Amino acid sequence: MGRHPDPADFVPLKRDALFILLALAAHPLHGYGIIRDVETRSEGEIVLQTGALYRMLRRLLEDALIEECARPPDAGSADERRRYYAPTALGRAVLAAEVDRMARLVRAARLTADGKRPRLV
Amino acid sequence: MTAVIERLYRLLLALLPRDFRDRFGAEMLDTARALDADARTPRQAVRAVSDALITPFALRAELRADARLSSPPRQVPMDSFFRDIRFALRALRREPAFAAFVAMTFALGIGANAAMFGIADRLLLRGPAHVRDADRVVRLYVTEQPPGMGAFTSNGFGHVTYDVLRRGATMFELVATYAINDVVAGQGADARQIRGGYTSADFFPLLGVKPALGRFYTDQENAPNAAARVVVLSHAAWTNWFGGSEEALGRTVMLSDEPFSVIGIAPAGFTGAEWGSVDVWIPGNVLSSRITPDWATTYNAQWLKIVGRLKPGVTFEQAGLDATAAHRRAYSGTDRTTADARLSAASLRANDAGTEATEIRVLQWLTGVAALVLVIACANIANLMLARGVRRHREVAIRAALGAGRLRIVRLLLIEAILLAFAGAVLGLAVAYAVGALARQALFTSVEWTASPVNPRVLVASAGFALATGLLVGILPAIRSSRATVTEALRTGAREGGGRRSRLRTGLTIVQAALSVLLLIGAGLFVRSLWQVRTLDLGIDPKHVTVIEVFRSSLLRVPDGPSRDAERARRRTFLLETLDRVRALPGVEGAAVAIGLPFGNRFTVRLRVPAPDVVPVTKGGGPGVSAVSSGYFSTVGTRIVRGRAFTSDDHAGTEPVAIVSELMATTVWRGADPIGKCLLIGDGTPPCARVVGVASNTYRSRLRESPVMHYYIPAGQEVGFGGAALIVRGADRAPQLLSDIRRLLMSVDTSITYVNAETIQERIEPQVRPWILGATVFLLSGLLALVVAGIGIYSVMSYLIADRRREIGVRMALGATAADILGLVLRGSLLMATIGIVIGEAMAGLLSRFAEPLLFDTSPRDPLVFAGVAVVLLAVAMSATLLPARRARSVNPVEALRVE
Repeated sequence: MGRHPDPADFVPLKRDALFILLALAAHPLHGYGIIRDVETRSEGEIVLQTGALYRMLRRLLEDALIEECARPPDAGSADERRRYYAPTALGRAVLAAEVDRMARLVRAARLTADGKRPRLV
Repeated sequence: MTAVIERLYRLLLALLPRDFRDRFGAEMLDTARALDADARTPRQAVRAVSDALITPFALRAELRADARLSSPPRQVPMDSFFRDIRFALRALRREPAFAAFVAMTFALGIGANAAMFGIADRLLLRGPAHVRDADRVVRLYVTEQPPGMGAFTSNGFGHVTYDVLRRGATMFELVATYAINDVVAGQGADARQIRGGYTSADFFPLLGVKPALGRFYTDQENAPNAAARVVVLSHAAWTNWFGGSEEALGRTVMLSDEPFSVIGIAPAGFTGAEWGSVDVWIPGNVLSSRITPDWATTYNAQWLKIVGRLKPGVTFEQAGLDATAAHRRAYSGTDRTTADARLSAASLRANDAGTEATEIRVLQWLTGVAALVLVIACANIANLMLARGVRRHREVAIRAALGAGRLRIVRLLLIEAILLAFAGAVLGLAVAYAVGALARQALFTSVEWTASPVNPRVLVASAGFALATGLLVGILPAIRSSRATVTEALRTGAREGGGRRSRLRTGLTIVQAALSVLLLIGAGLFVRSLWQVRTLDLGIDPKHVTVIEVFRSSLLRVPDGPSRDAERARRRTFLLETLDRVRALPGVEGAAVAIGLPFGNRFTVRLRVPAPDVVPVTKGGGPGVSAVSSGYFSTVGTRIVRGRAFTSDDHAGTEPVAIVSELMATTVWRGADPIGKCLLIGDGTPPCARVVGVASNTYRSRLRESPVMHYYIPAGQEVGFGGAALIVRGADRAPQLLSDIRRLLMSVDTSITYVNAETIQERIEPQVRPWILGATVFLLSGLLALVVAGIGIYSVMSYLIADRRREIGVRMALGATAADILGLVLRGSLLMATIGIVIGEAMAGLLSRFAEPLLFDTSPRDPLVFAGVAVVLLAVAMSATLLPARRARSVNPVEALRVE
């Protein structure tokens, strides 16, 4: 303990976690906002259940990847009681690491598609 | 979102862990609401609803999974506790034989104690059923010291003392009387003997009992000389006679040939101030007026027991002083003995003599034995646990290496022990039920039991025993096992440095051996006592002699005057006159009439002997007297050692004659021939009764009594005592013979309401019961302990030999023979046994003197018993060692040395 958490320790991220971080990276959102964002972002493929959402939010909060934040000025008045979440610096770093990992994964997959086998160490 | 679904959702949220719900519950509800509100398509709407209803369930399971994965510091303590239970169960499942054996050992120990608790709870802790604040209810006793005699304490009182206390004693809230007597219920062929409680009206409020139905009788209904014929039935009698119907109230039952009307039903299990069952409760003055005409004022008749309820804070001593003062203030008579009498108070547990009732003493012994069994069981289990700790040494070390703290490991091992103890307690309830039921039937027959041997209080007690014993046997092995150092344990093949551990195990085995010795010595002493009792020369032949007593309707029903006197005279001689017809019945080998029989004779009559002019007093009192017909001695089996027996020519009006017991002959005439000597019986005026024979000694009332002088006079010549019984000698106690006699007597005399028959043996048997009981209880628990100790020795020796394989291998390689090895092993086991014997016999030597009053003609340090037990234990130790020893002998030195 005491040492700085390494973003690499958190990857690979679970699919839900990745999408939640992606949603929050754009702008702070409340629970319902996250569900809508994830649904749109995944083109309707990922429909988060409320339970799954909050369970994941708790994990992310515990691991200090996200935090509660102030209500953004553009929020409607109906949103007054809602809590908003945003990624921490660590969260952003983890997201970057995960996206980077996936990019390399995709590159590797493309190589295979071109007929040149990637060399495995 | 519809209101119904929203409410449901709120409800379902309660399924979630508290912390999660507090943090996210409101948000979840909010989100679900938004989801529902924004549903555009039917599919979205369905989804919103299903989401709302399924989410909490799915989430609950997932959150639990999260909790399992998360690291210890974040854990709730209870969670890890349940986890330890699961671990413990898994560990025990891996060793089912061990678990079963330990649980069974626990079951025996805990079961025996739970059974004893069930009995002690009723007899010691809570008092008779339905008695409120039993610790404030006392029995009263009177201690008198007649001139030239020892002080004598009893609980027999006359009505006058009750009156005095009710008016004059200040420390009592209430005072009441009761007397428990046999009553004949019903008439003719239906007649049977039942137990009647004759009480004053304040008896019930004093005890604090409420009727189950109807009411108890009032003071007016218990008026002196005019008591109402009303009866309160016991719950059992009500059920048996009236099928528990409310219509019983107001009905009439025949008691002692008189009609009584039923006014109430006592609650189930109510037995008054004692523990024995009582069938009917009757106003006490119904009985009083039958005692003597001056019953209300005389100090010379004692037929009542007195109980009192103390005012709060009053001690027994204060109550006794208060009662004594009241008695002395009120007594105006001239009898010094009565004037100086001291009254005292004792708890309801006391017996008729003011000391602890036999049941209580028996119970204390049983409790002691049960506790010993539990200690032995615990020693045995601790031993097994230590052995298992050795086997699990590596497992524990691995856990420690993986970061489990020492405390955590101790806790885990302790939980295993407690789980086993609880499993044992559950099994033990079956044991408790069996033992409790048996003990009640065999040993506490005089107690009316209502609650089941396993009741809620017993359950709680068993749980307590389980927790305590689990901790007790688990703590030491757990601490020992947790002390494993990782490197040491994980070194392959390394044996733990067993020295200290095996010393502890040897110690525990010695404890078991010592305690078994203690129990076996108890068993031996009681078996010896029982043997002595059974082979005692009683001077009679109790097995083949049946005593037949007749009960008649009250003489008061015959008009006062000459006709009543005639009836009284007829009744007195009835049995004598019917004797020839009884003798003529088939199967009768002998019959006689006796007033005063061995084991039930309390008669004494003033006696003078002219020649020495003084009758030496023997410790047991007396001399006793009985009046017997011709044929008596041959019927009961008492030998006439000199002179002659009575013949049919000895009866009322013929020359007064007497037969004396051997003890009396030697005590009074000191070697001179007693035949022809003179006894002045009664007021001391001639003619004297001439001694015509000497009979062998018999017993007066108890197997354990100081010898009492006794003499016999012919039936019909007695003055001042009465109450004849018919004694019959038959092949066996043939039912046919008894019913013939019954029919004969009842057909000849219509005033007979009931005929009671029992052999003298049956009269004696209750007195033998303590020794039967002691022998049984000690023998059973002693054998049990012996088996357990044997297993202990076996397991310790097996372990030691396994531990010393290498050493044995070396010895054999160096030329030790198989006999040497056998000797080595046997020496160890016999040493343990011997130390156990020495300790056990030393304890027995110290403790057995407390058992002395319970033994019969047996020294509490009977050398035969002590030596016999030592031999038995050595034999067991030897045979428990044979198997491990054979294993040691077959050690192959090459293999043994290679293993390491």
